[in-house]
Amino acid sequence: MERLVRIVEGPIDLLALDDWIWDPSCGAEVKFLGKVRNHNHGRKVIDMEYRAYTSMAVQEINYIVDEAAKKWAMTRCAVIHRTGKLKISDVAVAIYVSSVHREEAFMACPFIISELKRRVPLWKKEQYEDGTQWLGMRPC
Amino acid sequence: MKINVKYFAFYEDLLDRKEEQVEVGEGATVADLFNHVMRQYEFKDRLSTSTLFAVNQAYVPRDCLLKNGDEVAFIPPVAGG
Repeated sequence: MERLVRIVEGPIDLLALDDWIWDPSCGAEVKFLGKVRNHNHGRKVIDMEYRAYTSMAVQEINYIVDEAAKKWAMTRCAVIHRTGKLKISDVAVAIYVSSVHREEAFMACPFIISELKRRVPLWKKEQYEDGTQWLGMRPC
Repeated sequence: MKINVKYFAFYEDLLDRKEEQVEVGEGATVADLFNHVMRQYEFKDRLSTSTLFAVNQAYVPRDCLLKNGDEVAFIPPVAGG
């Protein structure tokens, strides 16, 4: 299986990913884009800042891809997460999976994003009209 | 022992620094280090139950014993994606 795992500071190059994921042996490509939403828990979100423990994040994502590869026969798998300041509708994460048949890619993609959200050291701070908040944290 | 401590996200903002070297005694655990840092900065630890810890870039339990030169990260609740 070929893989591409990156934490990047600028916009994710989706056209390059479209090229990278393509494989003539594959009949299926599943692509997930996680985007910045303009609201959360009833508050209007203006923009978002992502930070990462980059070296560990790359390592954890690689572990997740390893686990997915044991469960499903992926041919190619790309996981790219962006950090820094993002605007509404910017792509924060892209997960592309190709496989010979559709089921493997369909199953692997949600597993990878769910595990990424659960355990990869990445954080986001939402900017509201009246302040900011690190998601997951209670005020201290 | 000299421990290289990395602060991310919430902790980076709270302590206004990304990393520093912290001295702790032999036999110190990750929890000891965390409490030491929080005391040093006079913050009450109201968040430790939701904070995870990594030593040398691998998640560890809070009773993990530290070694001289370890890299320790305080990891507040993650929120990627």
